[in-house]
This record gives sequence, structure tokens and C-alpha cells, in this order.
Amino acid sequence: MNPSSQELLIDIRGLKTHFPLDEGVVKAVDGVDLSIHRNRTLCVVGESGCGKSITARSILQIVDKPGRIVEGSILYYRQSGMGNVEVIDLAALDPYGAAIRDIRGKEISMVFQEPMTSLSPVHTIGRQITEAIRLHMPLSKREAKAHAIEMLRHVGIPQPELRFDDYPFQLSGGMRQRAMIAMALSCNPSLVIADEPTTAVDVTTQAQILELLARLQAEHGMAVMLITHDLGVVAETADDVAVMYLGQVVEFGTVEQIFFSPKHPYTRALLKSIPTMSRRAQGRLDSIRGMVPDPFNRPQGCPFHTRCEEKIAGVCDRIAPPRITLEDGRDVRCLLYAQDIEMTPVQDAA
Amino acid sequence: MLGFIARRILYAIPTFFAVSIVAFIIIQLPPGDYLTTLVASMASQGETVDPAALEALRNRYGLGEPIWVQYFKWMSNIFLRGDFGQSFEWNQPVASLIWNRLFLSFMLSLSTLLFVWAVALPVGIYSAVRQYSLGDYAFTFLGFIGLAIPNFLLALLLMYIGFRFFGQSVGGLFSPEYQEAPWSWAKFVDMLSHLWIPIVIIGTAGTASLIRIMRANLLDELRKPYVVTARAKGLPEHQVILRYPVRVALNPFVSTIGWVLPALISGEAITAIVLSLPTTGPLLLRALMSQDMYLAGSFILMLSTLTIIGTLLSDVLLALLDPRIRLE
Amino acid sequence: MTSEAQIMTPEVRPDPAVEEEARIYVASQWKLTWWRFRKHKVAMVSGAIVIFVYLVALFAEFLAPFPTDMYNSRYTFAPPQRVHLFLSTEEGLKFQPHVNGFDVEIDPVALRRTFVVDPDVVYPIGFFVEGFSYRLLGLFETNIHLIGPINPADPMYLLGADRLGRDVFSRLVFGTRISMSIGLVGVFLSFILGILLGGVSGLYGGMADNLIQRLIEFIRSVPTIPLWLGLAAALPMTWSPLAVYFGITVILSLIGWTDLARVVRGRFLTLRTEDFVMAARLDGASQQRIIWKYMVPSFTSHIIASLTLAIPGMILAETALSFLGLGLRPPIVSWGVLLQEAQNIRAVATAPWLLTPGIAVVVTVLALNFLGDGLRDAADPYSRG
Repeated sequence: MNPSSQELLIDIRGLKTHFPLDEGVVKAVDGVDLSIHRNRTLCVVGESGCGKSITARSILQIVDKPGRIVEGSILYYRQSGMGNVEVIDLAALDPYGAAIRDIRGKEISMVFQEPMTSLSPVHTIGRQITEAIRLHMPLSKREAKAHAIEMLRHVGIPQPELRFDDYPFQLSGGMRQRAMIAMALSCNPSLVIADEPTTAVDVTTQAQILELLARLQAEHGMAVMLITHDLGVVAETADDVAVMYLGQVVEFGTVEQIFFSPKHPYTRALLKSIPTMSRRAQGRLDSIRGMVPDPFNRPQGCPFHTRCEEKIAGVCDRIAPPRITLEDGRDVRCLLYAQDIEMTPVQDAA
Repeated sequence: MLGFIARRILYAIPTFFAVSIVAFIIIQLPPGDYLTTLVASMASQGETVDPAALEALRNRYGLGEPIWVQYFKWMSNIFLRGDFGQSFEWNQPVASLIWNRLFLSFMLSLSTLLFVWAVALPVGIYSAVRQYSLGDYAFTFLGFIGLAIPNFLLALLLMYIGFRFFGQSVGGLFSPEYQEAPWSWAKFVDMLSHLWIPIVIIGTAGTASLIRIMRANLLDELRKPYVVTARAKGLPEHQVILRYPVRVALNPFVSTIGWVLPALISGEAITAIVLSLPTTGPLLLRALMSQDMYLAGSFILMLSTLTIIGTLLSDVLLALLDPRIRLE
Repeated sequence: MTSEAQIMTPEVRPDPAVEEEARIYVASQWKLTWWRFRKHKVAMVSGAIVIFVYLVALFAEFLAPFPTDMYNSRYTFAPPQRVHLFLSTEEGLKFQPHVNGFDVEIDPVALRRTFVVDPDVVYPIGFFVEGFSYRLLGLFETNIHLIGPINPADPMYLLGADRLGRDVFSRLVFGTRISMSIGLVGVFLSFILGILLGGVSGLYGGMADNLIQRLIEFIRSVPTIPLWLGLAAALPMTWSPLAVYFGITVILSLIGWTDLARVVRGRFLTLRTEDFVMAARLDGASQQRIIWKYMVPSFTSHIIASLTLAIPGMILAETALSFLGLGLRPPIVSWGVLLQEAQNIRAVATAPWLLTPGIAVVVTVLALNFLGDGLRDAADPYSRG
């Protein structure tokens, strides 16, 4: 892939978001590197609790207390007219400050998992959308309302003039998620982060929502960061894929690279666990050996070595793999691909 | 919305009848009926009662007839003629005694309710948003103490402090010069200057429990995803909190009126007795002591009715606030 | 199609954290509750206070120097005496706890009596002295008291005297017994009503539930003090104090059972759908067995917490009623009856120590509330850690 820097929108380097709790520090995100490019869809996949959502929330600095970004940078390449690009480190902004609030909802917006609980139960859909519009665009009340209705129509909600005054509980799950998307798109952002937007809706609606996102992306020319644990969704929608495990991106490449020649043992294991039609019906579904380690008790060395089928004894349990960029441009965090440090520790152990 | 209100009013009617039956039972509980008490008390003053007048009264209240007839007569007298019966201690119709005091009781309870809300709301929000801060601990502790001190003890304490350190009595609702004066602006202002002491006394316990409720509700709401949505829109933090979680937490807060109001009216009665306020409390107590049962029963009936109406209004207010109730 | 991990081989690690976890898994409900409760410092202290107060109630005769009805008109409204530990004699300081007597002066203008401490009059006091005789715990006849004047006829007013010259301290100690027992008996009666009606409501649902819920709503919507007053006023004046005591308890619990019923009902409703109850049902356990063997044990700790939280309400209610003169009547002594002495501002102004029973009320209620809160938090051992 190796896109030119012109297209770069978000560049996350060494991001660490930790939650200091009484029982210890939960390192939800522990050294994430990934980049998002203009007009492309990045899918972030991984098991529950691998830090996908926290990574996404770190971009907007809306991590719940007591979590906070402790290290790393989130560079945002903002287009400031006439082809100039201004670089802002989002990780360095005050989470309550005006600078980050200007970006939230306007340049980077978010679609959440549960449209029922993510929308306020006591405000109308229209009110919640116009609030975002009026916050970021110099529109009058009437213009904002017209714009909101236009957005509702745009995301395929029938009779948007009537739905404008509805409360979330009066809409179906799919309609609610559409309203949520309308809200996220209302200020024409350059990046929409969708955090498992289809987990709470049924399969038919899921397909419609994903299609809608794809159509809107094409029309608005924005980037989409789609968080999911569903590899089927990834295959359908992604341009780029980041595979996460225990707070790190273990493999990052284009969708073709990830699906056709996965390099990291975890990616391979993930792909093997997908049920396919072609597989013999009586064959057992492969699952990944072992359990996700306790968040307070992270393994030494490579976080995946406890479950890895290709681990090198004496190496993987001691050395944390660095980010390695392969020749085809993808990144992988696995000692199998390390050139210079591989052999010494084995002799140590022998 | 109209349907909702109509349904609520319909629900309130059986409650009202239940209350009236309880009040009627209380009237009937002491041995002997009203007329025997009347005859006895007049005889003790050396007066005799005209048998014809006695018979008229007997008819009016259905005395000697089955108990449900008496109840029916009592209720229809109230509804048709506004006749609550006769107070033998005051030798006046009950109706002429209660309205003025009921009005003041109502005023006092209402002002206390407003006070309770005005204090509990911001403090509750503060305690939830700054959970486990020094201020939160301080308010929690004060709240526990507020719940543990009975109203009358607080009243006694304030009276003692007022007497001992400021050399003034804190009882009553009016200065002596306005005590018997007709209502005027000056009298109203005078009342306001006396009002705050009973308000603080009656409101303390309610404020304490409402702070705890608001804090707990808001803590629940602050964890809800829609708060993150609001934050992700780019709203400033104080607007995020005030427009969304506080707004949602307001609903259960308003619905507490259903039990806060009875508690306030209870507290008003006992505080009024200690501070000798010209409200229902002292008169109710006297009526009960001297077994002037029509007066006592009417007070209990009217205080409970006021509570029912208050709860009804709070339900309507809640429906206005919460679309999920309004549009169900 | 999802990649959620499948559990294949749960690893066995000899890890202290795991052992701790294992300890938690095998611990009984009571042990878990106790572990959690122990962490709650304020609740622990409150528990100690509550035990102390009940001990005072139990050993009232031993702790009180004088009987409740002993009066002495010489000492009307006498202020509290200071206890001196040392006595200065010709030979120097001698250890001899004592209180001083009073000179009574009558203010000729205000016609008020004032007490002036007379350091020359010495009334020696001591521990384990002889006084009025009583039966300890109703068992042994004795006349030993924890503290008192060595000569039983000497005056000793540690917390001052009331309008009849009775010892406020002794009366406070005896009042503890009545007030605390009213709390217990009242809560016990409400508990029976609450568990019966709440249980029926939660177990059977339907029509019965509806009726009981309406009844609860109704009782809660009525202002309690006027209602209490009305019912209490109906108790015949001719009743003996003991009968009045029970009458008042019944009245308080008739109104106080609703909260408990709500807790019981709510518990039954949630438990009905719990997996372990469903499992027992599928195993063919009888309804009785399911209720008593599976459901009740799992919320006993909640009930105990709710009971603890209900006692303060009873105490406050009794105090309020007695204070207004419609509750317990002398010669029965409760905190509320004692506070009745402080009803008018003149009495409070001349003898502020008459408010000491109020301190007892506040401390006890506070301690019971903290204790109940701690118990309630501890009753949910699996809730957020």
C-alpha cells in the first residue's frame, strides 16, 4: 500500500492508554501504532477487551475515567484550506479544552454501538442532531433544522420531517442507528469512527447499515474507522485492516494482505476460526487455544506467546516484539520476522 | 398526555376514598359519639341542651344509624355543603376553623419543598460529579446527620440557640403586631422573614435523603453511553453534564415527590407544634388530646387529600419531563 | 464467524491471586458478607456503638444509680455536677472521687432558683456501690450499681435533674431500654407483616400482588405523623402503660411494614428468574423447598440490612409520638417521654441538659443507619468489587 503522506489523516504512534485502578493498572492500550488515510476504510479487529474501542476513544480524548493517555502521539493532519496541511497531536490536547472540542463532532465524529443507550432517551432525535449542527456550524435554528432533516433523509429515514420530533424509543433499532449516523455526518467530518455499529441490530439491518456507511463514505469522501470483531464485515468493507491483541496492533496492512497472506500467528488463527461454506460440514471449527490473559497479569515478552502455535521457546516469552515493517509495506509485531535479534536468546535458554 | 392525566385522576379517586375511610374510622374510634360528648360537656358547664336541636343534629350526622350511613352522611355533608361537622371544643363548625390553617400549612410545605429541591439538586449534582472528593464526603456526612435528627429536636435546638445566643424567640409565623392583622403586603413580608426557620427545620431530613437519591441517580446516568455521545459531539463538559445526565436524573428526582410530600406534611405538623405556628399541627394535636374528633378527622382528611393532589401534580410534572411516560 | 476466544484448557497457575479467587468461590454467603462488612470501617464502629446501646438497655438497673421515680424537690432543675477525682485534705491530695453539693439561692427579682457549687460539701462516689435493689436480667436479686454515691442518700446528678429533681442520667439509661425495645419489637411486627405480604406479592403475583401494591402505595401516600397521632389518640386513656406500649408498637408497625414488603417482593421477583432457582425447579424440587432452601437463604442478608435500617424509623416515630404526649405515658420512661420534659422553651433555657436524651436518639439512629448501610453493601458480595 505505502500511501503517500498527502493522504495521511491520522497517524498513531506508540499510544498507551492506561486505567489506574485499586487492583492495579489496566493497560488497555499499550503501544498502538496505526494510520488512517483519507477516503479509505480502516477496520480494527480483535477479541473483546483487546483495546479497539479504547484506541478509538483515545483519538477523540473521550476515554472514561480513570483512563487516560499516558504515552504516544495521535497526529492529525488537518486540511486548513488551499492545500495546506496542519499537524495537530490530539494526544497532547487537554481533554476538556476548546481545541479538542472543535474537532469532536465536526472533523472527527463517532457512531456508537448501542443506538438505544447512546442517544438520550428524553430528547428528540431532531434536537440531538441540531445541537451538534448548531455547535459547529454558523446556522440559525431554522437552517439547522432544515439541515438535520436533510441529513435524516440522506441516511434513508422515511418521512424525516415527522421523525425529527420523535424520541429514540419510538424508532426501530435500524432507524435509531441511521439517526446516529446522520448526527455523526451532519458536520461533514473527515473521519467517522464507527464502534461496532451493527452489534445491536439484526443481520438484515446490519447489511443495510454497512451499505449506508459505504455509500456515504464514497459520497462525502471521508475516512471511516470501523471497529468490529466480525471478520465477515472486515472482508466486505475494509481497505486497510489493523488486527489488535491485548492492547497492541499485531498486524496492519491492506485487506488483501491480511486475508490472503496473513503473517502474524494470531491473524492466522483468527482467520482459521471463521466458519465458511466451503468447509466440510462435519469438520470442527478451529478455535484459538487458551484464554485471553488476565489484564492485571500480562505475559512477559510477546503478549500472544501463551497461545501461539509458532512460538520460539526462550525468545517469545522474553522479548517484546517491536514493530517490523515488511517489504510489502505492512507492519507486523512478531519475532518470526525479526532479522537482527532472533538467535541470541535461544542460546541463552539452551 | 390528556389521556394520561385523566387516568391519573381516575387512580386518585379510590385513594381519596380510602383516605376518607381512614379519617372516618379515626373519628369513630374513641368511645361514645359526638352528641354524647357534647351533652356531657355542656352538662358539665351547667347548660342543658334543647332536645329538638339534639334530634336535628342526630339526623344531620346519621348518629344511631348503621356505620356506613354515618360515613355516607359525613361525606355528602362535606361535598354538598362543605360541612365538616362541628367542633365541640370550639363550639364552631369545623369548616370555619380549618381553612386558614390549612392554607398556611400548604404554603409552608410548598415553600419547604422548593427549598429542599433548591438545595438538594445542586448539592446532589456536585456530589456525583465530584464523587469521593472532600466536599462529597462532607455532604454525605451532613446528610446522615440530617436524617438522624428528628424534626422536633432540631426545632428545640434552634429555639434554644435563638433564645440563648440571640435573645429572641424563634416561634410563630408572624411578629406580634401582625398576628391578628388582616392579610397585607407587609404581613406577607413579615411572614417570609419568619418562614425560613421552620423551612430549614422541616426540610433538613428531606434534603438529606434527596441529595443521596440525586447523587445515586446521577452516578448511574454518568456511566451511560449517551453521555459519551454528547461529549463526542464537542459539547463543553458542563453542558454535557447539565443537558444530558442531569436532565435524565431529574425524572426519578421529581417522582420522589410522592413520598417527600407526605414526609414534609408530617414534619410540618410536628414542627408547628414545637414552634407553635398557626398551622394545622397544634390544632390537630389539641383536637386529638381533647377527642374533638370531627376537627381532628377533618384535618387528617384534608392533609391527606392535599398529599394526594400533590402527588397527582408531581405525576403530571413527571410526564411533562419524561416522554417515555407521556407517549406510552 | 466471530473470533471470541473459546475456552480449551483453563491454565492451572499456582498464583496467590488465583488462590484468593478460589477462596472466594468456596466461601459461604455469610463469610463473604462478613469479609466485605469488615472493610467498612464506619459500619464497624457503628456496630460497636449499637451493641453498646443494647447492652445499656439490657443492664439498665445495674448502670443507673437511681430508680426512675426517685425525686427530690430540693434539686429541681439542678445542673450536672462535675466529678472530681481528688480531694484536698490536710494531708494533701487524696484519691477520692466525689461530687460537690449545691447552695440554692433564690433570685428575689426573677424568682428563679440558682444553684451555686459549694466546694465544702463533699459527696464521695464510687464504683460498685450499693443502691436500690433489683433483679439483674430478671435472675439475681442484687443492689450493686456500677456507679453511685457511697451513701445512697447523697445526691448525684451526672446529667442534671429535671423539674421534679429526678436524675436525668438514670432516666436516660432506663429510657434506652424502652426506646430500643420498641424499635426491635416494632421492627419484628413489621417484619412479619412485610415478609408475609411482600412474599405473597412477589411469589404469586397477579391479583394479590396488585392489591398489596395498591395498599402499600396508599399507606405511603398518607402523611404518617397525623395518621399516627390519630390512631394513638384513639388508645383509651384507661389502658395500662404496658398496654399502651404494645398499642403504640402495633400502630407503628401497621404503617412501617411497607418498606420491608417492597424489599421482600423485589427479591422474590428477581430470584424467580435466576438460573439456580430455575435449575432447582427443573430438578423437581417442591415449591416449599425452593422457597426455603434456595430463595430465602440468598436474601437473608438483605433482610437483615433492611431490618437494621427500619429500626431507626421506629425509634424516631416513638420519640416523636411520646414527645407530643400521644405515645408512651409516664411512668414508662422512654427517650421521647424524657424529651417531653423539654417541650417548652423555658424548660430548655433553664435546663438544657434535658436535651441529652436527644443526643442519645441522634447517636443511636446515626449508628443504626451506618450499620444498616454497611450491611446492605456487604449483602451483595458479588456486586461491583
